[in-house]
Amino acid sequence: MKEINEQEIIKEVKNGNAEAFGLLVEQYKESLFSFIFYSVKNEAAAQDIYQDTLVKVLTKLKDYHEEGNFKAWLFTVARNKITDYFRAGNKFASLPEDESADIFPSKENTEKDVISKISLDNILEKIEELPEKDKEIILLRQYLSFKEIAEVLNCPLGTALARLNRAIKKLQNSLGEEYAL
Amino acid sequence: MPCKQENNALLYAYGELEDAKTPAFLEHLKNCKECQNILHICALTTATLAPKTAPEFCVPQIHAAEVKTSGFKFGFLKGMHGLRWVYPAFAMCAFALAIGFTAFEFTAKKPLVSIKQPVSLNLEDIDTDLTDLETEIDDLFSYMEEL
Repeated sequence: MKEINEQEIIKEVKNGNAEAFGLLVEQYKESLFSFIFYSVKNEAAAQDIYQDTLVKVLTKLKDYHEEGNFKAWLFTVARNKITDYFRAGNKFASLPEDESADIFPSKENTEKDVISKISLDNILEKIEELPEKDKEIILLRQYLSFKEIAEVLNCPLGTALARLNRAIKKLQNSLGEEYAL
Repeated sequence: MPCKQENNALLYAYGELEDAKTPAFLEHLKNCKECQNILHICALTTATLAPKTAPEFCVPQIHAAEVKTSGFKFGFLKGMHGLRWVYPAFAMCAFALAIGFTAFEFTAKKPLVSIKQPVSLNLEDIDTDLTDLETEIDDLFSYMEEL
C-alpha cells in the first residue's frame, strides 16, 4: 500500500506537482536529516547538505525509476553529498553539550536501565573515532533496513551484515569493559 | 572463535530476524555472551543516535531551484525520454558537417582570378586603342577619297 502511494506521489512530482514532493519526503525527512547530522556533526552543514540533497532528488526525480527503492536512493544521494562535503576539506565538528543532552531516550525501562550507567556522549565520541566505513554502516543501520543498506552501498546483503558486525566489534573493543554487560 | 549466530543477533537487534528463526535464536541467546554483547552495543548505538528534528524546507523554493537549474534548452524534447539519442546525434551531425566543410574549403579548385577582384583601368592601353581606331578611320577616309 505504502509503495503504491509512493509511486503515485513520485508520478505526481514528475508531472510538476511540487506540493507532492513535500508528502514524498515527509516520512523520511527525520531519518535523512539525522543520518546527515551524525555524519558531519555540524548543524549548519547538516542543514545545507539536507537542502542540497532534497534539491538534487527533486531535479533528478525525472530520471528515477519507480520500481527502485526511493528511500535507498534518497540516502544514496545524501551519502554522495556527505562525501562531497568531506572532499571539500571539511572536518568533523565536536557536538555542543546542549545538543547532545536531548538525545537521551525515553523508551522502555529495560533500555533505560542499560544506558543509565553510562554516558551517551562517550559512545558518540567512540563512534566518531571509528574508521569512516564502520561509522557509516552504524549510522545507516539506524535509519535503513539491511536490504536498503545493501542497495545504498551497492553490495550483497551478507556483506552489509558482515560490515556491521565488524563495526560493532570495533566499537565494543573501543568502549572497553566499562560498557560491557 | 566467533559465534555463528552473530548475523542473527544483528538481524534480531534491528527487528529483521525471521519469525521462524526467532525462538531458536532466543534460546541460543540465553547462553551466548557474544550475542548478548552485540545486542547491547546495538541498543547503545540506537540510544545514542536518536533521531534529530529535520529543519523545515520550502517546497516551492526547491521547485523554483529545480526549474532554474534544469534549464531545458530543447523544449520540444521535454518529456521524450525515449529520444535521448537525439542529442548525441545532433552533435555528430554538426561535427560531420564541420569536417566536410573544412575539407571542401581546403581541397576545392578555385579560379585563378576571383570575380570579385577589382578591375584596374589602364589608361595607356585605352589611349593606344583609340589611336589605332583613329588611324583606321583616317585610312578609311583616304580610301573613300581615292574612290
